[in-house]
Amino acid sequence: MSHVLLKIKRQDDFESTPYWEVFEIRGAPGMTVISALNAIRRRSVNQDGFAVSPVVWDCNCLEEKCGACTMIINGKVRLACTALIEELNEPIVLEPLTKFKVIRDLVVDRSKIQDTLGRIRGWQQLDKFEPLGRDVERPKIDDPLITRLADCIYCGACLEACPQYNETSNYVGALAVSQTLRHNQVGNGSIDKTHRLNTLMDVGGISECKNVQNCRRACPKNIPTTEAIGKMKRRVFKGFMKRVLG
Amino acid sequence: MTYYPIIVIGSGVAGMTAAIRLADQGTKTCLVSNQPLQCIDALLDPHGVNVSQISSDSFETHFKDTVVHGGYLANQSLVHQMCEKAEGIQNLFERMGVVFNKTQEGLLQNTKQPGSSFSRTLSAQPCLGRQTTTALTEQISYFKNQNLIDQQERCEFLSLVIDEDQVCRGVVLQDLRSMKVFSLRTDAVIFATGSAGALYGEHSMQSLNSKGSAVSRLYKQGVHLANPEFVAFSSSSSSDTPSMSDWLGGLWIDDNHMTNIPGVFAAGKCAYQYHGAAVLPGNMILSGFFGGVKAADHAIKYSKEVLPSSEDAQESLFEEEVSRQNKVNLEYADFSGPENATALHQEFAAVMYEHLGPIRNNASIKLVFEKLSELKHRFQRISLTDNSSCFNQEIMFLRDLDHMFDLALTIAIGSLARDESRGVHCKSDFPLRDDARFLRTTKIIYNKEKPEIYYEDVDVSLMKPEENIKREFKVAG
Repeated sequence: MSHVLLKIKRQDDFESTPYWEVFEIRGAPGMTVISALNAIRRRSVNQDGFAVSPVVWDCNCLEEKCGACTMIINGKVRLACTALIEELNEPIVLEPLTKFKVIRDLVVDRSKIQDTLGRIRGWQQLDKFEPLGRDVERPKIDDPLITRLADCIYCGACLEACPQYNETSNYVGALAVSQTLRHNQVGNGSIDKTHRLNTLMDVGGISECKNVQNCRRACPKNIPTTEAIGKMKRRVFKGFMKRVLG
Repeated sequence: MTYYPIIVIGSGVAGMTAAIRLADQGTKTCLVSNQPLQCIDALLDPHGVNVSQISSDSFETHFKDTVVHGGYLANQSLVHQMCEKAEGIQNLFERMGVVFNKTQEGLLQNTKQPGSSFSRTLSAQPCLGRQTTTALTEQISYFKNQNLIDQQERCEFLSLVIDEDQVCRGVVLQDLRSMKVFSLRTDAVIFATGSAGALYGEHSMQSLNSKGSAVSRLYKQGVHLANPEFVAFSSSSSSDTPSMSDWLGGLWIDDNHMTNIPGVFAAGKCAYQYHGAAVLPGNMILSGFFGGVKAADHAIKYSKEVLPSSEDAQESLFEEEVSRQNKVNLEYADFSGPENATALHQEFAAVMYEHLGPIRNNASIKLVFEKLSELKHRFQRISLTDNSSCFNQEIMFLRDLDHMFDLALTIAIGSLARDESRGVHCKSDFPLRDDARFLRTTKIIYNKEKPEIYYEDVDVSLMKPEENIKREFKVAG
């Protein structure tokens, strides 16, 4: 494999104007976008021959398990750790996620995801954080969809791809909707069940979903988000009818 | 300046658990991490959690398996307590929303792992680490909502603030987003900063954030290390060469999870107590969780008793440490020369793997000192190309790499001195276990810019191997 061109959207800090910079690196078989970025760390010279500050990026597990390296690669939201160079058209265009605030270059602040999960009370309320014996009743989970939802790595790809998830809509997004479904069923999910359903009934709730289904296609873990949203839509509708009809 | 009775540094299983435990007990805390939540090592744990399942098995057998598998170097009383709580911990995981794999009938599905007498390792989809991480992160969100946990994300730990009586008064951190160095007052800090996979670079299968730099910084400030020579390697498939999978050494802690510096606690992979010479598969997440709870409980007790509180400590103590750390950063910024940090790190990792890899021998280990000092010499000639004051990964990496040298030396010294093979420590020139000489914990103390090695008795209060054990003695200085 010969030389590989990388065109990277850079931004020096959260408030400065983004710009493009092209790097040429030596390719190798099995090289991923992360190893290409690492090559820039070893020799940070742009295509015009100028030594520039190395590109800044996030990465942690290298196994598609943590979501840290989520970025836009050739126009598609992907995890950089498993995006193979040889399967990408050149120049390989790398951009930071657009739905989150850029910290620098390809690093974004995704803490918004955590805040959204707070809106739907995405947790199990415990009486006491204490290891207790076997007398606690175990919930029986027989829905295979619930197990699939546990695969979520909170990378935000579904939010990035969703046209409805933006500043103006306040939509909680596919991630929070599908995690609502999980939380209402696992542990002692019934505690906050009503609150979660009410949140999804409100502004920014499930009615914002226009069934574009980008979330399903963007998910690196192939989670059936649309199936989860469909299920939640029926439940929210049932809850809504109950609220209206008393 | 902000004061917290207790601060937690590191947001893996042990760190999150400790923070949640503190909040649940009504102690407000600050959870500091150099990465966003969810980017942790437990995600890569291929095993589950050990809980005895059948009537012929018991937590006592789980305990015995753990001690034997760890070559008798684990702390027996702590391991015993952990195994006793295993069932409760697994239950707590379920209460937090973890769904374990079940059989057709609905019973807990379990597998038999090497080293275990019975089939007792429970797992989840896609792996227990994933679901545990999710569940703990959610509990953090809950307590953040309750205003009991503050979070400092993307902040790197730089140093402890210690007063003249050698008592912990606070920490100095650096916010990576603004590169601002600042301090927090606290009576107790719980370190849960994980392993040191970065020492082996691409020969490690641990997450890239396992840098070991916090451990190394503490070590250079006088916190003792234990068992650094125990580095585990494993292959993901039979054709692969083994990669570094765990570091079993770490900060020396007592039965209350406190290091030798009052107020400094540690839990999880950055401490050493629960595994000894090898990790029993299915004990890693368990020990991280158990240790997190235990460290939190003892830190609460300590912070209530310590007098005077750090709230009243002199301001100058903090200012001095912040300015010292700012000066260190400036020194790194002045670095110039033909070397590149990433490339040098690659060479460093190759040296580590070659001489301190899965199978070692003394002749080879002896070569590591010269090679490391040569690399250290070249390290001074790395040029810094990034002068930004926003998310400057290069300067942070330079600091981390500098600290890797110190940690590497402790591994080398510990390995060279331990003339035996035990657990994951394999020496081709000393293939047998030597209880008479080495049924002991290695302890490394940084003294006058140099590591000193000591040995300490291990806890054999519950299960006794036959050999004689002598008291702590000094080997070399």
